[in-house]
Amino acid sequence: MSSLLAMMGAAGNALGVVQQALSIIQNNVNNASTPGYATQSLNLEAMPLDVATGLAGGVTSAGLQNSRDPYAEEQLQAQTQALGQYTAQAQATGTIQSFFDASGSSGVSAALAALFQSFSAWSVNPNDPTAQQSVLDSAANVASAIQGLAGSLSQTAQQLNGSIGSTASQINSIAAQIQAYNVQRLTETTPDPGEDAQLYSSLDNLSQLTNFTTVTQADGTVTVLLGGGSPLVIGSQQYAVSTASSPAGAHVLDSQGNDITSQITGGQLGGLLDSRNRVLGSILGNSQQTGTLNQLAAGLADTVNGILTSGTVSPGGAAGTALFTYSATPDDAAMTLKVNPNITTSQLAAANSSGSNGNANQLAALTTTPLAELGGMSLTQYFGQIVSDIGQENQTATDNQTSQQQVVSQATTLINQVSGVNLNEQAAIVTQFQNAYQASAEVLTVLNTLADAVLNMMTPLT
Amino acid sequence: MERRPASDCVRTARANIRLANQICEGADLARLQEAFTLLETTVAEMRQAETEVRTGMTDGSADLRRETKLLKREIAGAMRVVDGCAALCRGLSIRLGLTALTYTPQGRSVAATLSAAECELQG
Repeated sequence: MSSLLAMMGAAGNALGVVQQALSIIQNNVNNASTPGYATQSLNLEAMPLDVATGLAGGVTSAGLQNSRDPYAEEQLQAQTQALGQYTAQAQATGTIQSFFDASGSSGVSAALAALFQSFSAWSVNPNDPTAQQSVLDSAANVASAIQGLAGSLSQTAQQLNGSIGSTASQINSIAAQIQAYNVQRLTETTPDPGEDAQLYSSLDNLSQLTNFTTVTQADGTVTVLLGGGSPLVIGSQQYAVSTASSPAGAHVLDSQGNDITSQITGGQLGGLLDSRNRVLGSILGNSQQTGTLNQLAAGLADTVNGILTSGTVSPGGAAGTALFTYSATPDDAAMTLKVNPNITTSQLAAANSSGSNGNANQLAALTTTPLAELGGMSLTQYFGQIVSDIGQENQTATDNQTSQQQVVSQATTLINQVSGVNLNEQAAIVTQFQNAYQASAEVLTVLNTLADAVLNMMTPLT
Repeated sequence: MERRPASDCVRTARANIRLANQICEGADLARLQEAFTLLETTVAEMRQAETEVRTGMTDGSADLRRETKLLKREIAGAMRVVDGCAALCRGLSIRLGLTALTYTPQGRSVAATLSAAECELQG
């Protein structure tokens, strides 16, 4: 009788386990599209069967198992961090590039060309008031174009500062979600699948914003460290980041106020910081560098002023007056460049020791004259180099973004294929993919070698 | 083999690489194979381009130089994708106890050393 009761108990227990397994399957179906959710399965364990001693056998639940592979998750997050970085760089450099006219038909290039033309026309008729006025007008246009460009770029710097601040706020908001998970996790013995899904969804979102690493502690809580090791979340404690700006650029500060900007190298925040501090800093200048646009403005003003003040308004006449003025601070030259408000057409010095238009000729030749302060480039070449550099930055960022998008897309699909299947299947899938990528890499290397060979063979022909 | 200007061959190679990139976006084995076949065809195109340049069959070196530089940029982009995915596969292989394959800068296959495998897992 006791055996019969034991067997009925075992059967009842088995039904309970089956019910539990069915509810887990139902839960998997319901959460199929929940971000961060990993498929759950129930481990079943056989109960001892020994009729003689009254052990009725059957099955019991041996805990939940999810299909999450922490390594794969981390890899995907690393790739997503890179994608966030390239996307932010592509957008920011695209905005910066839009202020430069690569065709040269407008903006600074066109204004410089018009100024050199006006010098040339003036050199033909040094005493012609119209030609003299044209020089003053063209100079004002160049100053206005350079100042306008510097203003637009400064505005972009402010916008990037704002974006950096709002990205830091998003990071703090996600860190708060992870901290809340940790607090909840400390009260549980096993993680709740729904909370686990929320945690991984939060980490996925965080990986779009910045570079970080995670460590799962023995108590089940997750520690999140920013790239260089600064804590963001440890157990039930959140360490908020903040932002600040200074003449050196934008900065990210940890919860103690330490500057951790150099640690942020990935995600949207890394991309924004790079565009703001490195790319814009190199053009607009900051506390560490003058900036190429300021060098252009100062180079133009100093060179033109130097020629004009060394000459005379007529052979043996009064000395010339400076055409341009700018702030004494070198990293503010572009923003403050303007035509000397006191100069008049009669103060333009066309003459020098070589003749009545020697000075004007020298100014007209500036279009191609290499200047030592611009690294041996002419003013036109130097501005062309600035345009080319920002174009290259944008091209590189866009190429990186396109490639990285594909890496993330393929990695996501691959990880989905290997998650939730047994180890043998995983091994088969991974081996096939590994061989396929291996073969592709080899063919691409051959193609690159052939492309190099074509380029090398062409050198003698050109 | 029909003779064609080298720049035509390079242009075809570029189109093939762009198409191969599009084909394998979904990380599906059949499509990866399709993309691989296309890359092999591209090698034939580039071999012909090399031959044509060697024998002087160019239709303007400036155009050919520009196309070849663009091709190199597209190869670099494709290589980046392949490198990223191959690295993920290596890490998964090591974790599964399989032989992790890697390749030299010259494209030769070699098995990853133990220390390299450890680096791969640590990232």
